[in-house]
Amino acid sequence: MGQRELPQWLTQSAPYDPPTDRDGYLRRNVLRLAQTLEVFRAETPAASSAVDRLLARVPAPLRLLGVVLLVALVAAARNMALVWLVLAVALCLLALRPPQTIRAVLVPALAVALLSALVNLPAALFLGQTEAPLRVATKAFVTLLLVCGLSRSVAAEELLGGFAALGLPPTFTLTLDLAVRDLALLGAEATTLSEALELRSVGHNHSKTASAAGVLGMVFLRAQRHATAQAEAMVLRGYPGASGSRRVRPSVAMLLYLLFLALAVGAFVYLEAAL
Amino acid sequence: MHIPDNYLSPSTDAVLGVAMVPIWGYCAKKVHDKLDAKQVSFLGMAAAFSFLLMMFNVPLPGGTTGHAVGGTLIALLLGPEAACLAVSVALAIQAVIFGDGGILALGANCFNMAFVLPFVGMLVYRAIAGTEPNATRRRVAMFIGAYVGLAVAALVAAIEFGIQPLLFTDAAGQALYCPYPLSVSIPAMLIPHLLVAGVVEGVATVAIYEFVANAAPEYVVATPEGRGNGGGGLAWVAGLVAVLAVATPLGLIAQGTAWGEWGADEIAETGAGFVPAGMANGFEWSAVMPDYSFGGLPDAVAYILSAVVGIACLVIIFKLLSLAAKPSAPAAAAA
Repeated sequence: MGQRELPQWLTQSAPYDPPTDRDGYLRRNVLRLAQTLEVFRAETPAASSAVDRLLARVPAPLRLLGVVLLVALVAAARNMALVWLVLAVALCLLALRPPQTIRAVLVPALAVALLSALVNLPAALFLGQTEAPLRVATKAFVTLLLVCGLSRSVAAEELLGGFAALGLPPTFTLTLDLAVRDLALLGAEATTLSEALELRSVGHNHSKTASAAGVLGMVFLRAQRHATAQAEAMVLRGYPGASGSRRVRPSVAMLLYLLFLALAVGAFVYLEAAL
Repeated sequence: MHIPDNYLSPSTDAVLGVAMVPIWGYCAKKVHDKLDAKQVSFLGMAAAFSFLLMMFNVPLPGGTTGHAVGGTLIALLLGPEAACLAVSVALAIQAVIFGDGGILALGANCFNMAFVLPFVGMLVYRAIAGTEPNATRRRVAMFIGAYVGLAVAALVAAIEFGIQPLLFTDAAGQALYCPYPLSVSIPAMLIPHLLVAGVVEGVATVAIYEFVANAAPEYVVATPEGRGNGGGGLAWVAGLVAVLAVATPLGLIAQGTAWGEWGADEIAETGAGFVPAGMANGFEWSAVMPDYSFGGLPDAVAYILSAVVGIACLVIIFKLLSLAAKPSAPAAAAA
């Protein structure tokens, strides 16, 4: 085949240098918000460590209740020894997890602890309560370690799936379940929209708020479409929204978890009495 | 051997702290070049051995106490540079969380126990073991390397103590910081370490090295004869760390304070006859868990909990550092 020559107009260079524009607003607000919604995805996190595989044998609602109980004990404790006890256990569990999970749990926990210490700093500086920032920061740190540890190892779907076993009304469980599923879907769609907008934006955009409103408006419309489709699907299948409760079978891991919770309550009572 | 704050003058602390900066930089570069992510992660476990060995106090002649450090052990497993970083992090945790060793004196403590000890220990080991040692010669070299490493570190600490009254005195000629001269500090530090602590260091080094080399040989990278695959893996090593952590209350049996680690209120009764001004009015650090104790908990329980917190912190820190290391062989192959 002979080589064709390029047309004249194609050989001429047409320099185009679009004016630079900062997309920090889009990145920090819309895209970040959309990515946060994606956290609610229903996938079960991979049990990549031995401790997660062991904890996976404990029913998710029990783990949720356990964390709530521990957080309450830590918050109510006047004797800091209990806080150090729970911290030791939380650090041990964290140390057994992969480095990526450790970073994901530790960063928010340290950030909140630092913020708590800063908020309480005036009490130390002006009122002489030097222990207050340390106490509050430590309690915040332990609480975040427990909560972030749970959220990184249990899917939102699993947590909600077991609510029926705790005697919560089916409507409440269904509403939460649908909300979580739709949040995950909408988060993914909002991320796609924002990324597309970012990639196709050329030149200087003077109306960033309008662009962001466009993305959020589209997400709102899609949310409505999802809700309508969900309602129609339920009508078609004759599904009233009530789900049967899941039967929880006792296991060794579950009994050990209950024993640990009982020990934590016992330690709380003993240490508070010793104060 | 943990020098508390105010035993050394701030200028001595500063000199030794500044001296450690290029050493840490050199060691970090070497570790980054030599070790992969899995090995850096394992460094946390090795640092845990050092942390635990330092909690096992043994009674020493003269009514004081001492302990092994485990610096040569880590050097034999992962190299002296890795040992320097591991022991430095362990010392920092001990100082900040448990008040064991001074905050201002952290540079001095790292110089003695994280730099001098593992590098001297490894040097002596290499000199004795030669290029192709048999099992017996290797064990003897390890023991002597660990023993000499600890003794030299104690000697350096004794010199740091002993030069204080020569360099820093008030108008009346009284020492401002550590009141004991070289003629007292060197025998006081060296004799107990030569007689007891050095032997403990040597035995612990050989025993733990052999255990790790059998259980997880893939993590023994500094000594060519230890390399290999097989064994029970990391779980066995973690099991040994757990057993040692549970056994740490044995370190409470040794009564008394280590030489050179008395509080400002105790030093007058040790024969000095006065409290040096620099110690009476010096820097004070309120540790979160002072002396490995928790308010309201029995000593033994608090000691075990301290060990657990220390180990967990070390493992977490080195796992986070492993994110910056080069990928380990299987991960690199998969990529």
